Amino acid sequence: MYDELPVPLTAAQVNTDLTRNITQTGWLWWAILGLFGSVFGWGALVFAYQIYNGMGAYGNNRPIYWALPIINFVFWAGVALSGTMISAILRLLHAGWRRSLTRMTETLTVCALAVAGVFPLLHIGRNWTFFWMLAYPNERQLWPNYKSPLLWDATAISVYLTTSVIFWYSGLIPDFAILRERTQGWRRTLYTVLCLGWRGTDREWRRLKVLFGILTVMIIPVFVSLHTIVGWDFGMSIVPGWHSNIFAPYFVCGALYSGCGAVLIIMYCVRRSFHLEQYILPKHFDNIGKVLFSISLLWFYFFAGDAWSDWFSRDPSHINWLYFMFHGYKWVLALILVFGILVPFSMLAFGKVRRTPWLMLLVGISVNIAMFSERVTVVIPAPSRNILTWGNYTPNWVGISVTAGAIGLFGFLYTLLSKFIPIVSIWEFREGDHAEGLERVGGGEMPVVIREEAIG
Amino acid sequence: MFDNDNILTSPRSIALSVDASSPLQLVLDEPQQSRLTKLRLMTLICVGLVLAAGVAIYGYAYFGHHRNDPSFWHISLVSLLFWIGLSQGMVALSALLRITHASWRYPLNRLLDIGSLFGLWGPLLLPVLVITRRQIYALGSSDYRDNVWRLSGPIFWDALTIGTAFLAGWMLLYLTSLPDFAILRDRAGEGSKEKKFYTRLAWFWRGSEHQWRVLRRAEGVLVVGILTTFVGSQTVLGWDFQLAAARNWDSSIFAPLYTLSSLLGALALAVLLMTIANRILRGRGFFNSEHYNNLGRFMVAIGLVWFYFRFCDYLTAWYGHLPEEWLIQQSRTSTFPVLVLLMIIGCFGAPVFGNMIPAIRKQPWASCTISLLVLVGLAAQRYLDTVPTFAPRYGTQALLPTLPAIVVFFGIAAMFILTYLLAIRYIPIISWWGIGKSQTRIAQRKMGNTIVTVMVEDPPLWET
Amino acid sequence: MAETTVLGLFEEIEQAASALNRLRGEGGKATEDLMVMSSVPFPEGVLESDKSPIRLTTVTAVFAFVGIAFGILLAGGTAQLYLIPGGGKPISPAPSIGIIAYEMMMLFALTAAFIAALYEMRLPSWRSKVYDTRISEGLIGIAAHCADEEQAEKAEQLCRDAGAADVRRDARAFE
Repeated sequence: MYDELPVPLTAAQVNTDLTRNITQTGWLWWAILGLFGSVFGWGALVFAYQIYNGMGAYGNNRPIYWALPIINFVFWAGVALSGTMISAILRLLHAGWRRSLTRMTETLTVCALAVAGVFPLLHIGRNWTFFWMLAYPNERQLWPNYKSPLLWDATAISVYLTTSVIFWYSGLIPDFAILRERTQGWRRTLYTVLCLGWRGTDREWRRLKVLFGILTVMIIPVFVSLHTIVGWDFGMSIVPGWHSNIFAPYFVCGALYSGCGAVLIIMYCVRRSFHLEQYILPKHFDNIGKVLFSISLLWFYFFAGDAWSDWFSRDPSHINWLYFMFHGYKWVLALILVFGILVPFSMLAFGKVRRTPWLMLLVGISVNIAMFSERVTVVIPAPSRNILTWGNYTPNWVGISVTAGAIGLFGFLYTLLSKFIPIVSIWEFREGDHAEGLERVGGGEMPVVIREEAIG
Repeated sequence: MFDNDNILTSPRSIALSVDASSPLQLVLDEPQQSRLTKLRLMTLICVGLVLAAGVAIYGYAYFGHHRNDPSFWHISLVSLLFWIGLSQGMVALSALLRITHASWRYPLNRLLDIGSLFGLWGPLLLPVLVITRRQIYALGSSDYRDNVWRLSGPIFWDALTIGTAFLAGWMLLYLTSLPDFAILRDRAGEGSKEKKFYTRLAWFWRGSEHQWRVLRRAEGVLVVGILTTFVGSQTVLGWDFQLAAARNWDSSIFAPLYTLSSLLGALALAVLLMTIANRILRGRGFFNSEHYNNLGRFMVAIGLVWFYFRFCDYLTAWYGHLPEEWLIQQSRTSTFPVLVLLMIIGCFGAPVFGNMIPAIRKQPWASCTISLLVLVGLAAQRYLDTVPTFAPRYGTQALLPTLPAIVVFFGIAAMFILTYLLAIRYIPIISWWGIGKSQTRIAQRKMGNTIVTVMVEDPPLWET
Repeated sequence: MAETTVLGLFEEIEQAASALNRLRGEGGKATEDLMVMSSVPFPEGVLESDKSPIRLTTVTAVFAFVGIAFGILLAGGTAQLYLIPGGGKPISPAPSIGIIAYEMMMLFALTAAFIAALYEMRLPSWRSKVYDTRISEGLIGIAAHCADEEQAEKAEQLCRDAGAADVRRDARAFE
């Protein structure tokens, strides 16, 4: 059990290791950036094509007004959810192993949320008038309708983006101060500005701790509200299949599920590409795997509970959407069942699998395939009507390109940011050195930790 | 880094400490005369209430002229579900604290685990109360008549899941009590009744390394089992109503809402039990402000989530404004404003805003007041979720709680209390070995200018 | 000799703590003349040089209420100015106002907490101040603000006695 105690590293060693992603740039980084950038570029070109040809380019039609752009929006908002959740909840529970993971998951949130925010703008049709949605006095006498869940959603996304950037940046300040001492030239100037003159005095640390206490507790209801309102985008309508009071918690769980999968993917990629094998240990994969396993059960509970009560009640209007799910979209349903239930359940139950990083990468990818498919079954079958046989909607090259472009944009942002910030929080990692230790007891050594004072 | 002296305290010093032994003495020693009188009186009252409830169910309703009284049957049914939910919630709470390695859990676990003993006799009432609710046909769900007795119907699942959840609770209670029974066996006077009794109960528990390993393993398995069966049983209890396809009952949010409500009620009961245990043990300091603090914060969290689910339920009906849905929501608030207020204060206002202030949640009496409000709120919720569904057919007057229904509610509550009164006669209310374990793993160390608390990191329960 | 600051750099927590205590005791330094600098935080009270009250929680609570008021005005108030009737619902319905007020509460509270924290930390401040780059490499700095040469020498001696890895003078601003 105690096989993977962290090797004691000196402060200088930790600083060197964790700033290496900033100080050294190889060709591979440029290649990856270029790859993601060109995929994103292709998506942007297709977006220009969409502006020229109108929203019809997506193949959206009368019953299916919402298709791939909204599916993408829900998906990326979901991915964004878990980054901050993992970081905030682990801080709240004083889990010692959070220290290596907080930064990369918070960065995940910031990038994914930026991607999610693009899609509503992309989907409004006349994209150049997006500022009509903002609330400001104007000669058009137009005002946003605050009764609409879509506006709640826009508000929630802005709030979550602002607060998660604050959360992310607050943790970065002490690390920027370390980078200030470790870089030269324009970078040094940049970090001197970004660290705001941080010196690490007792005064500063005390405030930072209290600030984290407040942020950690209060950001949890913010991210819950974000995906709740995404759920209400659907739940507030009276379309059977969408009009369900369980949609809000169901969406939150789904978001946590895909987000935790994304955390696994990010962990693996960061660990491999920046050689952080001493910092991101198999135990981290193990623990995130356990979290993912319990979330998968919770998600399954809501997923099944939602479909189940409609199915059992035999209410004709409710059976309609299930009919589409079981017929036209049965392959999508099969993807959910295989990648969202069969694969994770059979793999995550084994400690050996959870401790093997590349297998956990596969689990992360599998969960995300399933959750993308789940978004498809949420968005499309409910408004479908018996007009065509396959279902009412088939994705075309425009939608698929934009979907790929989203992945490109996310990868591009994350790769770019990883060049400017320590991807593992340096001060949090080194804080662990003071808080953890070994104690000789009887015939063995046992890990002991300092009990942290409660937050709040 | 922490190289002062050894972190482990020897078991000997724990065995000799008066504090750790006091729960054992409670079982072995005869209670004082004044306490004995009190206990007897309470037992008598509880037995009286249980008998009165029986009279109400059989005499008044079943063989009397009230077989078609939806109010009586449903209040009785939800009273039972309420207490089943609470007792399972307590075991689940205990399991949750174990699985999250809460370092303050040790004195609390046993108190919560005893709740599962309610399952030995409480659920026996369930078939009686379920069979009689014939008014459900009046809601127009003819399917229910066929479904109710089928193996794929909710009633059969009820028996299965409630039974499994309680079974897991009993096993956990018994296994984790084994080391305590063993020390009672060794401490009881030679040839006494107790000696015989605890020798039977403790079998050959010797505290060998193998036994401890197996115990820990079993604890891990049971804890996971308890959590899953708890969610399962509460969900199925929600489905009892949900699958009836009666308006408002078909809400898919009932299952998670009831799971949460049971947990909230369990937290409230934990606070109350803790306070009572502290009084019985005359200030041995097993439960201090840290426990009140932690449970209070836990209540804040669960109260918020409760509000979240309730609000989702309300908002979906409000926004959609589908007549049949909205009517139910509206009739609930307009017909039973007091109960709605009680529910919101009890389940949300008191536990969240009351417990948000550290000074209040650390105060035992304030914390107990909040807990009582929570129980009242949860009872009001059970009523509001089930009974107003009959309003269109029976009229509101027929749905108000009547005296017999109230007697049944308190009768079932008395069954619950009686369970505790009987159990604490034979089981130490605080686990002796748990206290020992907690004391061996925590030490004070000097660091810089302060003293910090150092703990041994527990490996997860399921990896031994 | 004008004001100066003595900066002792320590490798171990215990050395730094002993230096801090001796500067306080034998050195007779007031709390505001002492400063602990470190690139990692310590548990509460391990090395404490700052006793100023922290008002972040209060600020957060106050701005939470400001946010609620703003949200009510935004969703409920402006709706009365630009009427959008529809959906069989009132112009300013409570649930929508509640949701927007909730979001605004969070936005105001968290932003205020962040800004107030910076204000209380006296950041941003890009002016050059007492510091040593080795602090970011893991050394613990104890800075003592001294009024004259005699005090400074005494402080240097105390730091050395406590086992400092290095002691130096720093003429830059203390705070």
